[in-house]
Amino acid sequence: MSLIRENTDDVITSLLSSGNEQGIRLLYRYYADTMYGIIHRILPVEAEAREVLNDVFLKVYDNIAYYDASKSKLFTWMARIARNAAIDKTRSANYKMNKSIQNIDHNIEAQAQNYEAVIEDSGMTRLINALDEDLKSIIKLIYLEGYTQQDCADKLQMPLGTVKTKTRRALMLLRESLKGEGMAYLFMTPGMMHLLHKMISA
Amino acid sequence: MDIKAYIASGILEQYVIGALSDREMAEVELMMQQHEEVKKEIEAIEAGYESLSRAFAQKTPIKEDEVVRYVREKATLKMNPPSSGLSKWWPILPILGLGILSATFYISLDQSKKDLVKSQEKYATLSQNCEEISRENTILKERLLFVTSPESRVVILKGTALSKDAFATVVVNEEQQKIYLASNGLPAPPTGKQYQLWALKDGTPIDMGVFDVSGENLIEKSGIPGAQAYAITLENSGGSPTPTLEQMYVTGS
Repeated sequence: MSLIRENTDDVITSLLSSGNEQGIRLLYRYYADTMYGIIHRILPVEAEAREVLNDVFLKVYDNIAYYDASKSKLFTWMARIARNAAIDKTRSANYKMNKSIQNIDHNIEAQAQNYEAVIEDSGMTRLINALDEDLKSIIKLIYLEGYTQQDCADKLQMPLGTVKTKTRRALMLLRESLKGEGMAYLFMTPGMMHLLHKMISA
Repeated sequence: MDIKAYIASGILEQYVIGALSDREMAEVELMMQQHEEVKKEIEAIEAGYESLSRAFAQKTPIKEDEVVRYVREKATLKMNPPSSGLSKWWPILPILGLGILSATFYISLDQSKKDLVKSQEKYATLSQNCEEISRENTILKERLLFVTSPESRVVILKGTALSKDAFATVVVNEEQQKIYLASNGLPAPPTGKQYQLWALKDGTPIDMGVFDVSGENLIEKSGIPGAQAYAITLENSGGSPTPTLEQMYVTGS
């Protein structure tokens, strides 16, 4: 499975490098919803999240020459771009002018509740619910909402060192659980398999 | 450096999600290159982060085509359309076009060459014809001058009792010492026979040679100075030393 995934990343990368439109299409089919999740949790206003998502695809396309497969997976590289683009948007003058910090906090809370519902539905529910409250919060803030460790420490009123340790523990625990649960099925949706089959046979 | 402590510091998680400064990222990448353990750990974090993100994916409100259009409009590097059967072949289209063009030119050139050969042949024929006509014309002019010369005299030879309708014309020019004979008024001679022209000078017939009846052309013969009259007899092929008077067709002076 991981071999196929890596090959898929290679195919997408080489298509993008040669300026082939199909590269963007495959990138969209593989990563658009995941990236939109990352962006939308940071930017609750849909119009802004849409704008940033478009820009993320543009940035990936324009900067594909700087992507180094030996350093990271395509997902990681793109997720960094998405996260940072969304955070930059919240720091933009325009954004600050339009919304007070309270509003953002309010929106993030609303959003947090919103994906609480998603968690209920997904196979991840049990895994995350099995974590203690601190780890659950850290997972949400650090990995899903783009908080820095410092901001997370401030919000949860924890020492920075504790946050650092827990950041690691939270993901480690999840990883272990994922292995046990065989969460690889997350990648094996019928659409994904169809696409993979198409690409391999192409 | 204590690698386990480094891994436990939480910096790698920050690295993966992109929460580090460029300088810190470069440091982590250096560690990753130097320590296989660090690299393995980062890969594991990447996998965990991706799983988590996928589990919390949200349906994007943007359609695929919209994204493609956006990137195509704004991209610094020009984007190509998706590869199709045609675009796979487009690089050889100019070559193909050139090939067709060359073939067309070749065929057209070949045709032109054939046309040229035909034209040259036709030109040669026409040119030859023209030369002949020109030569004929010169002869005719010469003859016209001969006939219309004040020194020339036209002698009409009239048919005898043997052949009343027959006639011939002799144009004589003493100065040029030659005569022209128009034989188109004579009946066609039987097989084995030929007409023979005679000049009569002081009552003596002088042989001027045999000739074949020719419709249009004048027959040229050397003149007999002082000849008073002319006659044509029908003789055996090759002619006779003396005229067969019974076979005299025309005569005149």
